[in-house]
Amino acid sequence: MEPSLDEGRFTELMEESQDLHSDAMRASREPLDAIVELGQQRRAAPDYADRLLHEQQESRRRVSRSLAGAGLAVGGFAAYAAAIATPAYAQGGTDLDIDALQTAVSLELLAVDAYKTALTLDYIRANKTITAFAQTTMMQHTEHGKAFNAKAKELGGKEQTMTNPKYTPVVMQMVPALKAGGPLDVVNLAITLEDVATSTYVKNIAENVTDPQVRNLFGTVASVESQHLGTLYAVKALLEAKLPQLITVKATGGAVDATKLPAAAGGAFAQEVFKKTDLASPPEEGAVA
Amino acid sequence: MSKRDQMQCSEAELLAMTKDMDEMHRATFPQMQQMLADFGSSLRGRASRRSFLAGSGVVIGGLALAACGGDDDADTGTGSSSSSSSEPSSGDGDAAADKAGLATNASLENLAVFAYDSALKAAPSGKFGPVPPAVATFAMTAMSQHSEHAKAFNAALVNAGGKEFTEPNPVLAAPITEMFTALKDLPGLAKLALTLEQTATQTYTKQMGEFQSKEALALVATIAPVEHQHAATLLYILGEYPVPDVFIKSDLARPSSDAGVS
Repeated sequence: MEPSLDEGRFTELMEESQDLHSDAMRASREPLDAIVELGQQRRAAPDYADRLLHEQQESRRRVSRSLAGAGLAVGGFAAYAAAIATPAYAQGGTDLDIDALQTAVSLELLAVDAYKTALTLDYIRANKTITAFAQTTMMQHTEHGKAFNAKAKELGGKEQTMTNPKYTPVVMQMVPALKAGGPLDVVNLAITLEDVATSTYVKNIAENVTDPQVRNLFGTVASVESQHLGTLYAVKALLEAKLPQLITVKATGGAVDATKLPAAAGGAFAQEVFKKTDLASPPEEGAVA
Repeated sequence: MSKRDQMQCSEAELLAMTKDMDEMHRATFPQMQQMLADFGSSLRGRASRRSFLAGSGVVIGGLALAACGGDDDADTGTGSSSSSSSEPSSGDGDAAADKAGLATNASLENLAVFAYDSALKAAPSGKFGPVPPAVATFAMTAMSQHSEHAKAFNAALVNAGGKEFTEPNPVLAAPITEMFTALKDLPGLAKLALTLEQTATQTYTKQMGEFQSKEALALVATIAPVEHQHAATLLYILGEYPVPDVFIKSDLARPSSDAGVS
């Protein structure tokens, strides 16, 4: 995907939010390094290969019997089938783990491009807080993509450099309408992309991925995406209530005056009691052949 | 200052909000009930399948049989000395660890319910100053969702042959109560709630790399993102950026041993 981007203006916007980015970047390093270190330690253990093989065999056997015994063909069946049918192991994780990581990268890259595009729109740049959100979120998705790619390569997979094949045409098709539209159009698109990412990672943890380190990585990212999603829900609620002035934080225009928030805003961030996974992408959707 | 002034939100409004939330929960909860029915059978199969089958003669549905069946081979050759005992057999440590973690998670949810409930009860007295309606809505929503999460973790434990854990986290209850008692304003309350939400998220995220049961993983995977949305709400109310971290940290994560269940 090649968004129409005003590079000069974009650079300027990036500089304006450097403080926000710096804080977030510092926060990102520690857990990511810890994950990498843990993975290296785990793989260095003498019995690692045996333990991993045992884990994978047990997982496949459970999945196979659950499906055969219950006669179920529930959502994610393709992922289950792929897990059972794929015999190869690539250093540390299964092929399915690598597929899931590559698909995750494709979703992250699409999100990065979508936010880049949004940042070229005048009506987005008109709101300082929404602009900062788009910039920061874009940076966070970039880091997530790097982390997923690093893990995929560590497991013997190829780096994913392309945006998600299913959703990229959809987003591309929407760009003209976004240019002619308003903030709510962008927010609705972003909600969909964040929900797809969150749902995909949650489902990967619950059903698809077998390497504990990969599950942990998906976990450390899924909840961040869920915060993006929750924030977008709240922004949408405030835009619909014609209260854009309340979309503000200390770093951009001053802390919000909570007394002016409509009551419903308090429940806007967390709209699901348990994160649903209806929008989850299957692990192989963005896999690199 | 009147009770109405302090709360900025009438009891009737709060009741209406609660009704709306209950309806939302009822729409979501059936999915979890199905998942939990599957969950118990899997854990039971891993932990003490033979003793469970011999002792109770009860199996919950065909899916339970299918999920339990996966451990037949593993059981073969381990002898029968433990088949009528509640002692875990070879390879049962993972399932026991999952149950310990789930009990700890229930304890964290109970603690969160306790904290939000205490805050809502104390608010009309003016303990925190005026409470904006949006903050009251958030507290009601979060408390209700934590209650559902506690039910989910406990239902899983019961289905697995364990007991519900109905107390607040034994390690954190005393210091949190002490901190709550000392609170004097809304930002202080929001920061305390933020700590609880971050603790829950980080604990569940850490467990994603530790849990063995797919169903236990499904629980923490679907609940952690919701706790983190609560954290985002609190950050926003505090005036902070709602998504400050690129990756979830782990410094506040609680060990599975917190609840004392093994």
